Amino acid sequence: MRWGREQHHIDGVFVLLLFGVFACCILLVLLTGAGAYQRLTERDAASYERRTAVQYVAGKVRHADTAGGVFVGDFDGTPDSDGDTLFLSEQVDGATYYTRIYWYDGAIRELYTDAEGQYAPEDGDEVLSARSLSFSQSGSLLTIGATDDGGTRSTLALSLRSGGEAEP
Amino acid sequence: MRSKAPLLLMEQLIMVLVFALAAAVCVQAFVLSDRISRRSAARDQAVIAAESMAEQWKACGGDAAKAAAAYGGSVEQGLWTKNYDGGEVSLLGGTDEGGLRTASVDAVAAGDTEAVYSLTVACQAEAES
Amino acid sequence: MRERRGSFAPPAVGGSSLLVIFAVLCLTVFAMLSLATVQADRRTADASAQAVADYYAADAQAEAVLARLRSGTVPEGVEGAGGDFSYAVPISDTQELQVEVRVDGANYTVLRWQAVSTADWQPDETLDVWDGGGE
Repeated sequence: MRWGREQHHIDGVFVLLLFGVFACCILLVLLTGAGAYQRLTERDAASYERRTAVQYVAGKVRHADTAGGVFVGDFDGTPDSDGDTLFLSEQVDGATYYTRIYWYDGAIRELYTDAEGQYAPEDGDEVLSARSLSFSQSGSLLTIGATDDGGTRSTLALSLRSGGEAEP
Repeated sequence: MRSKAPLLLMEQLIMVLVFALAAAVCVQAFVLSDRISRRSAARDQAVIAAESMAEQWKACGGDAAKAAAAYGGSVEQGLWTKNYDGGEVSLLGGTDEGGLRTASVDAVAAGDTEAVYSLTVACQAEAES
Repeated sequence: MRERRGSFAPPAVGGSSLLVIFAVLCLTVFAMLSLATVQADRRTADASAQAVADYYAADAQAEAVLARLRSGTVPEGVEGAGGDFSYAVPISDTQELQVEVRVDGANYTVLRWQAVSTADWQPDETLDVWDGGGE
């Protein structure tokens, strides 16, 4: 009789234990799933930043590829083949306008202004957040280097088509 | 009072099977997502590497040897190969025709044989007299 | 004899069912979210890769036209004469590559090799903006 009652308890304990183990397994699986999802979104976001920074600048350069229209310099406008600002110049109604592309305070920025006048880096519109952006120009080859927030560096070379001469 | 243990046990068993089935399906979905995400990231890098190589080739006037000397990589019989962070990109120049030189750039990810991304690029060559 | 209910009370019938239903729901949501995020990113990546391929196709075509100009023939669609030529090659539905080039025999100078947007631009005129006029 007593043994019958204990069997109840043993059954109960067994089932409870099993339930506990089961619950732990389920929790483990859920945590793994959440971790996998997080890793996936992180990889996608990093991939997006890496590709967009460099392709955006490339697109802008290709939209401005005219003779003398693209050059690298310091923010204030002095040409410098290893400067930190990319200048895309265009003529509108006889006046020269510059689109500056540069990095300032955690983001790649773009500033479209007339060629005269003083402007500060803060005036630019934020385009994409990044750790750094650098330009280097040698001859007709422009090299764009961007480091995304994760620290990965991407480099894209662009050949400026305008202003070239053939050597037959 | 009848013990509820067998009923509970049976229920748990069924639920374990149901969960295992659902988990298997979801794991498949995760694996697929992971594969797509990896391929997409690899292709992004390949695009940048192929683009850079094409532009460097054009900046050197279509001279693969000159480009390899200036920008890295090795040239062998007109095939310029360079490593990038994720694989190898190569440029194969075709023959000049009518003053036009074309080349095809292929980026192959490490461990693959098929190109992840390909480009066809052209530049001016010596004019035919 | 009263059945002694100790601290080891087994879970009620249905407890594990609830747990599993909850867990399956969570897992399914994670799986769907993963797939959706990854597909969305792949679509933008595809668009970016396609844009690059489109540009190079147009670029190669433009170079082909330039080669023909250098050899002396003026292909159809090229405007200009006497050494200064201009033409455009479509890149995609919304962009075209506009080229201005000065050709002198086999020598050439590229004045412009510019990708330009050809999409219809609808100005937003909902705000009454000052146009600089007097009255």
